Amino acid sequence: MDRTSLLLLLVLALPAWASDTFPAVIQNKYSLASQPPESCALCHTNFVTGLGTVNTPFGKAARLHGLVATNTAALNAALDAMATELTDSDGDGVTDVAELMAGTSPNQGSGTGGGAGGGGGGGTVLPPPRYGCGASVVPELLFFASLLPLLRSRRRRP
Amino acid sequence: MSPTRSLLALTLFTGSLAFAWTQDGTATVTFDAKGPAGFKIHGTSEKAAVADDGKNLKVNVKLEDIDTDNGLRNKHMLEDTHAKDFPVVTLTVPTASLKETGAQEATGTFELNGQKKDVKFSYTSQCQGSVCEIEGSAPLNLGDFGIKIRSYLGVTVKPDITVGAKFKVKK
Amino acid sequence: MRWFLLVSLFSAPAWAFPWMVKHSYGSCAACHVDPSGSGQLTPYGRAQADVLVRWRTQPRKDEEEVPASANFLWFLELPEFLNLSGNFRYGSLIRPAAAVKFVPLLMATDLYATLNFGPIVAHATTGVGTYSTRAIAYSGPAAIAPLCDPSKGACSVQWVAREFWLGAKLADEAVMVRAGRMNLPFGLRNSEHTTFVRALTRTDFNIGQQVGLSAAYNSEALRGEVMGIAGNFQVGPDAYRERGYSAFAEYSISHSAYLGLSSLITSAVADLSTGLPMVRHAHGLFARIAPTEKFALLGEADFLAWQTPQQLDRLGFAALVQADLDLMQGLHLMGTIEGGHTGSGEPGPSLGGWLSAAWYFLPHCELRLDNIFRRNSSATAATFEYQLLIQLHLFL
Repeated sequence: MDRTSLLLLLVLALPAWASDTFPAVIQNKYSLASQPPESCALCHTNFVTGLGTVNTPFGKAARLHGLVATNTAALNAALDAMATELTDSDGDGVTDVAELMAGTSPNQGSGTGGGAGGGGGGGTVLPPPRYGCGASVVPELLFFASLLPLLRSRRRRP
Repeated sequence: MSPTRSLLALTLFTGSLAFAWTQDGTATVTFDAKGPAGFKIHGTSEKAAVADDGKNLKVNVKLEDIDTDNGLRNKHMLEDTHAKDFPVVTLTVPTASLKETGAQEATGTFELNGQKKDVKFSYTSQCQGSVCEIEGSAPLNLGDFGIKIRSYLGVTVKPDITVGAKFKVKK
Repeated sequence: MRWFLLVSLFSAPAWAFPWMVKHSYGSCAACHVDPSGSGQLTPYGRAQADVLVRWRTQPRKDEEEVPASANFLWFLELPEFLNLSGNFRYGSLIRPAAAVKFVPLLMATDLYATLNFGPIVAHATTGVGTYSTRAIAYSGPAAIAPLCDPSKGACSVQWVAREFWLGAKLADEAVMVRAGRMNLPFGLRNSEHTTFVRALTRTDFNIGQQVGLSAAYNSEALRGEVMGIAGNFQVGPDAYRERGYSAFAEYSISHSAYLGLSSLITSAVADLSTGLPMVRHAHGLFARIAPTEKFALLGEADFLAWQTPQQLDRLGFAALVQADLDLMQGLHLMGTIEGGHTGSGEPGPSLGGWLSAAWYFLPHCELRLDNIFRRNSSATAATFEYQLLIQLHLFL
């Protein structure tokens, strides 16, 4: 699959995917003594990098705010937007940017605010999906309403 | 020139199949029918018989030997074509009208359900030495042969079908 | 409307037999209410299930013109405009290496109803299902899931409604337009649940229905369907609903060989699995070939891509090859090889091998065994698992 992916990427002329400089960009942006302790795992699940692995709460929130692989300008813009929106990916009451500046994890509810974590990223992040007809009854009502004329016309037949 | 030599010369000149031919190996007969919404039936028999009486090439097949891979459908086919009264389907083609090579068209007489009708068919013939392989097909309308097709649980096969045959003959 | 609630994600509500190509049934419309196959059978289809599918030790009696089993509940003759049938499927999943080694599964208890008024067709399915936490894991991105909270204990039995649509047959039944909730037209409608090709394309007919507008075409040489997807309105809020199209076209090379193309592009403000804005692509080929009346080969290969507004996010694939052998009528042996990759940093594709047997021991009754060998690949590890799935399926 890796070879296939590589071939397809070459064909599609897309940029490279490694974003090795991101932890350093965060360090410089907030004048931190060191890079964020989670390093790659700040955005990549279980330190596994590559296509489709930016799935940590903070990583998802950053992508929602325009983060693009290897694009440091996009990272800076995403961090600024998250700071403005007070995004709190782990739902612990401390914003992601504040956690980065404090050297704590924006993914694991370790901020001073306590909390159970697992938040949806705060700010504009959507609530979890709801399932079942409670989600919307419109199509069902339309369908059964559309059957009524058929049933009525049937009754009129001898 | 003797009559035999004359006939031989004429035959060679026209490249026709006007010899006395005998069947070589298995002869296959097929039919393809259609129904509503892409429904189709493929029937086949490998028990067809090819015979040449010197004037006509005849392809005969018993309806009961045609299999549609569905016992109930076979039964319906036999009933709708009145196979009890007319068990054999025959295509009769004047041998002189058949060409020895290439893609050709010809007219033959198709007999089904006790009724005869001239049908145009296309065929290809490839000869090697004394053996010729012939493959042909013809569109038919079952209504032309007095066959009325039943409707079974909402599905009715259309009367326009295609019949085909493939066989080898040798001089 | 709570009684419409959908559940039973680990379910197989229908039978669909792509291997009917062995009997020259390339088109599905004669036997299924859905013009592209699967789900409720037409009266003709119910009769063929008895004539061609069920196990027999003796040849069928020719004088039995219409099998009794073609009727609802095997005996109840219905008026022509009404088609009622049901679908019950119970399964037992045995997982020797798992903590819970035996999982009973009430997979489907559906009632199907179709009303035919000339060219107008109205179709709906409804039933009950039980909640399964495993279902959530499977469904994540899928169409339906229970409303209840799994952290608060097992949920009660709930109502299921997978399909409801209104359609019109046109052009001598060659064309059917439909509006409502229906299966997505894509690839093979294989009944194995669940295979990588169906799960990764989100087109499993057990769970993948969406609301939309479709047009299906069936002729002797070509069949296909294109559907505009308005979304799955049983998932909310609206941001999670996918909108786009799904389509397939299949060409008949001969009466026993078919080659098809599928294509799907959907867009959601928030993808159900990642929560990110996502455009999802699936494009592929599928084929059905029957070299003999006893043997069929089915294959499908799909290219997958996930794209955010900023970038191409992931690339993946899903593929399946299945061989189906009739040991005798009504007794099938099937071998399946499949692979899939989600593009999520797995070191290699997930792989699967199925060795299955299906015995149609009575009219509309199936006993099925699936030996499933899976190498599940994730970003962190690859795990191997063997599962045995035993199913009893009654098609009422």
